[in-house]
Amino acid sequence: MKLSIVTKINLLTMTVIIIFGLVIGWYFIKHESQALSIELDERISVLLNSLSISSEYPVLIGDREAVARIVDNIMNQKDVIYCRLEDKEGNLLYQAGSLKNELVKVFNASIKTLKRAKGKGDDELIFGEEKKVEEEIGKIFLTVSLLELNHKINDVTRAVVIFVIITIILTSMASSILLKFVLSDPINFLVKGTERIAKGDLNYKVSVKSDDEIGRLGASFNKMTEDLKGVTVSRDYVDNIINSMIDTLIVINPDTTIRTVNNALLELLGYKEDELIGKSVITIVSNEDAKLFSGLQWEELLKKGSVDNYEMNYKAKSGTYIPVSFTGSVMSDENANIISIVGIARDMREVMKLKKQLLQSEKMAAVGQLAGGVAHEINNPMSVILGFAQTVARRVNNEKDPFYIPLKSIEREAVRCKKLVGDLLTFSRVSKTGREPVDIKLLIDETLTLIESKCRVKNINLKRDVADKLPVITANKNQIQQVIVNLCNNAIDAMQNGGDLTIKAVVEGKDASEGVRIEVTDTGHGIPLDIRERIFEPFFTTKEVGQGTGLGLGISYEIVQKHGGKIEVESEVDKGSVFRIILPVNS
Amino acid sequence: MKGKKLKILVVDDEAGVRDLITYLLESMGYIIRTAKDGLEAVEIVANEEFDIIFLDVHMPNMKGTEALESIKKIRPKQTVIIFSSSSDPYYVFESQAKQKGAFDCLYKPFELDDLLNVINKAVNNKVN
Repeated sequence: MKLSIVTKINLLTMTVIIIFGLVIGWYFIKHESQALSIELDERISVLLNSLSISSEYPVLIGDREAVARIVDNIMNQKDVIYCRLEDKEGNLLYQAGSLKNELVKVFNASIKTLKRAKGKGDDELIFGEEKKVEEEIGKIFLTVSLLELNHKINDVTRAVVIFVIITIILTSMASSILLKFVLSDPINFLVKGTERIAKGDLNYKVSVKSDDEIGRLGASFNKMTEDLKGVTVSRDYVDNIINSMIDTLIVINPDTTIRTVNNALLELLGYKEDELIGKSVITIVSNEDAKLFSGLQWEELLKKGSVDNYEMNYKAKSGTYIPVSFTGSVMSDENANIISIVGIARDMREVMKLKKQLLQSEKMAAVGQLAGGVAHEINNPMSVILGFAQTVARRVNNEKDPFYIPLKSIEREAVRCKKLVGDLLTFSRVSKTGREPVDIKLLIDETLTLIESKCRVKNINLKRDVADKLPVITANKNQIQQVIVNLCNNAIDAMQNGGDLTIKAVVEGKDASEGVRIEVTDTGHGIPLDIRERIFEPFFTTKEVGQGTGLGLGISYEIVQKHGGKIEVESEVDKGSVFRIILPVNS
Repeated sequence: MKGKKLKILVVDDEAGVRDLITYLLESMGYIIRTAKDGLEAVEIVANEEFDIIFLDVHMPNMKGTEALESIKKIRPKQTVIIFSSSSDPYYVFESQAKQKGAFDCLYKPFELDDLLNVINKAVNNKVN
């Protein structure tokens, strides 16, 4: 059983007071009882004495009546319950009262008389040997009840006990109150103070102002917190730092359970703190990366002490993988015992995206460079082929001429080559050429007339959803039109059995000064995930040979990029695709 | 076409291009002369007058742009139409060429109609 120090002191004080009270009480009671006893004895002995004297003569002369009177008179005395007189032979002279079965005390005394002792034969008073001799002539027996005495003693005892009890209670109360103010309260303040400081509140001050040792303890306690402030950082401060970090932080125990996480990690993975603390770190890493946190690799990490920029995937609560770069190091105590592993992981999604974009633009640039180099060499012969074909075809100018169809074919194919070279050159052109204010609404209307007939033939429902107020953007009109035509052509090709083709244009962002978003939505076969990343690559095509060059989306991407815009795709197999172009007002 | 036949100089290092234009335009009644690079062109221009000069950009010895400057020095009012391979960035090149005195630009591979249109444009410009 745990007892507070005040209770202990109280108990001790009470024990001392009780023992002291008992001793004093016991002594007092004893003393008082003795006094009462002695008083009784003295009174009775006086009584006996007077009885003895007053009964001397009646006994001598045998006056029984007088004896009876004297005895009756004695019987009136307090506490006397029985009295008996006997002569010297022990014969009853007179008795009064009765013996009850109670606590009594029996007194006796002799009735004596002075007798003259004479010499031999004569009773000469003047001469001779004469002396007075005390002679017993009878006996008195007096029985006294002790009832009264005991009553008195009991009364005294009761009073003493009550007094002692009251004294104990009062003293205990006084000592409790005193202890509470002097000891208990200040100690509780100090206890509360240590608890607050343990929680990191270094601004807490205890208010113990007495002049005694406790007061000094309080003052030194306050000084300690003040000093601590200087040399330590509070838990709040550290928490604040950890939770202000942009990178995710995790502290892992050697048994791979999670000890601490920061807000960045919780936000990244969509967990709540209590869902992770104490769980295995495996919970939040991809299945492939779980091996780092188990078995030999984990042992090795603990031994090695750190891991740098380990590319791995975290697993969010939703199950999606998030690429991160994990850097961890082992935290040890002064005895080199491993306490935990502190890991920081950086979200690499944006970096990966940029990497991909960079790769893409590098590819584009390579194609552009190649095209630029080859184009000049191809363009000259193409000029000659196309020019002669057209010149000769024009001279023949008769469909029935046997050279007409071959010449027209040469012309047509040469034009196709010219177009291909032109497309390829889009990748090599970097300058902001031919920019002019473009009314997107007008541009879309013009573009739609280009593809309307194709839609009709392919049984495609062309829908136009263009906002009334769109900002005028600075762009190369032909190129933007080319992008929309490319996207529409792809959409049409994706809907071999007809469907809906929707061209939507709205203001991008809150303000019309930001830009325009154009969406081309089809209800076609969609783009499987595995090729979705490749569709913007030059020469990547899923169309049959001769049906597409594989440059359409690549060129569209390049054009949008060069306008400072973005092109994105969302697609679901068998449901359709959405291509979204975002163009800034000023590229 | 009035009485006088138009004289045209075609400057290109590509024989095919020279042949094409000669074949096409001679049949239309123009007088065609050719040069295979800028140096040769400047020499010819120094001695002869032409109504229109077609000048390729990428050539050995003297590039088209340099030849343009030299020609313009000799004959400031000379109508010069620049042949450019479409590998040249369209608009920047065109504005630069025009600044240096070119009348227009024609991009290879050109189509017949483009060539005839630009000649018509140049003729009309001269008449006016």
